[in-house]
Amino acid sequence: MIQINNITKSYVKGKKSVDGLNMEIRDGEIFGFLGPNGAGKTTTIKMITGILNPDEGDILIDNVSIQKSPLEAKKKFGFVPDSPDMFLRLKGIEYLNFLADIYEIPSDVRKQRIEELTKKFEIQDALQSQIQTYSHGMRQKIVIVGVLLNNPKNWILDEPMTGLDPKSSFDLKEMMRKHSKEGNTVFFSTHVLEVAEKLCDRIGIINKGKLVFVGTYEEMKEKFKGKETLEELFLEITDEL
Amino acid sequence: MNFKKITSLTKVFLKNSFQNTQTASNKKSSKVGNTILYLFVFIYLGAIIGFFSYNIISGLVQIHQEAVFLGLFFLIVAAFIAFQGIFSCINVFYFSKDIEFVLPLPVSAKEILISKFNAILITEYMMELIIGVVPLIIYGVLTSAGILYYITAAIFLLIFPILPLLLVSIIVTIIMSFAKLTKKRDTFQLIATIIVIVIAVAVSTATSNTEEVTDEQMIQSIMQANGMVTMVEDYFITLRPAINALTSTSAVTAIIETLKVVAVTALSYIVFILIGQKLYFKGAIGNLIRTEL
Repeated sequence: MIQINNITKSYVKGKKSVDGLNMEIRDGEIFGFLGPNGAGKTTTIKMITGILNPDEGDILIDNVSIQKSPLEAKKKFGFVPDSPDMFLRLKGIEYLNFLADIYEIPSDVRKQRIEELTKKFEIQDALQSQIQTYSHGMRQKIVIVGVLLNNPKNWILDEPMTGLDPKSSFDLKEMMRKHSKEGNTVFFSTHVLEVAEKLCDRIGIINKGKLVFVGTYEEMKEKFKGKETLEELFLEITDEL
Repeated sequence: MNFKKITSLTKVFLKNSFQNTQTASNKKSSKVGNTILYLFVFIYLGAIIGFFSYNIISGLVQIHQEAVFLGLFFLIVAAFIAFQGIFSCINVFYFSKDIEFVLPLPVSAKEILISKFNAILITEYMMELIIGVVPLIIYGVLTSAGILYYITAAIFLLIFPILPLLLVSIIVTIIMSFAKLTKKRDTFQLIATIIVIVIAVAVSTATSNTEEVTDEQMIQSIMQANGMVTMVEDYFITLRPAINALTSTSAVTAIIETLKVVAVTALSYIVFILIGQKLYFKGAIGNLIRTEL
């Protein structure tokens, strides 16, 4: 479970990038976080994952504060950032072993999970090559595999489908569904409205730093009757229509 | 503190710090080519440094002033490490983008700081292999030193660069906590390259002039330079213990002098960690925010 309690963040004095945001992502649900560019999605995710500190408010991951007990809180989630261009000089296997060391995964368990996950994402043959030789999609896959190694209860993904081929995208969505069905939490941001519609139990929409809607897709449709398409609904909510 | 995490992070930071300096090639042939090139540069520079060290030490041995060389040697090593350290520290601590990927991981601020410092230190050790090992071996051979000298020399090659690098890291951390250099990364690297070229040209001009200088004149100017060592050693408190440890024939004296250097270095390390925990993340995260705006 992820609880976001009244968080505020300003990069420039007087201009709030995230303004008094309150959200709860419950156990067993897939929560889609939507919003136009510059709405505050990535800033929110950076605060949830401990990259940035909020100016006000607190974030709890399974009831552990990311600000007060960062190490304990960070063990409770896995994070896939929007850009997979990280640690490019490492070989795929070095990157996965690095994460396994950081998450203190015993060697027999890590070996089995690396085999399992890299086979599922079809990157087992690329593990001996440096990540910089990977395509964007393959980089995305190795980052996702890295996150799944620790089998965290809470998944936080920033634009996870970007660059994935249809099969990997399908597999990832299936894994997200399976993960939430097991009582875990999946929180992800996306621009793809159809993904949010088909995959999410609930949707949160942020605009200009403020949460303008939170609820199920049906509730959203009910609230904004008369709008035929998802795009129309989204634009109506974010005042861009 | 988890040593496995620190070792793993150090390896990653070290590989990442080479990311900008090497070409993005995975081909075996280019790897072999690079290794041959580095080996050639290593041998070439080692030979030049060895040649100069041999001339200076043999001149000083004749007038029984060989210890003067050690003072100058450590001063030059410290200056070199500090100068090179400025660029390494800014690159590894602030310009590498890895911090954003490491912050969501369950590693403490202390572990990140220590690992980043380790990565810089290891690159400095590689430089030290060229400028440090050859002169100390030549010194040992020309002064007919015993095994104690070689053991002490090896220890000092490991511990001596830490203090200048810590001082540079502390200064860089303090400056970067309020300076906004991130957006000027390219400018910074251009200036750094120009400075390196200017220094290389200056050194090359200076060394070509020394060919006309007689051995006596060279020894005389070295004795003058020794005055600088005496002047500096009041402030650079590990310099005298380093000279004493290497010139001592008593193991007890060598151990005591080594412990003095270890104590000062350990104290500085603690100061660096304390300052780093307070200021480094403020500066590094500030940089993340600035690049985002």
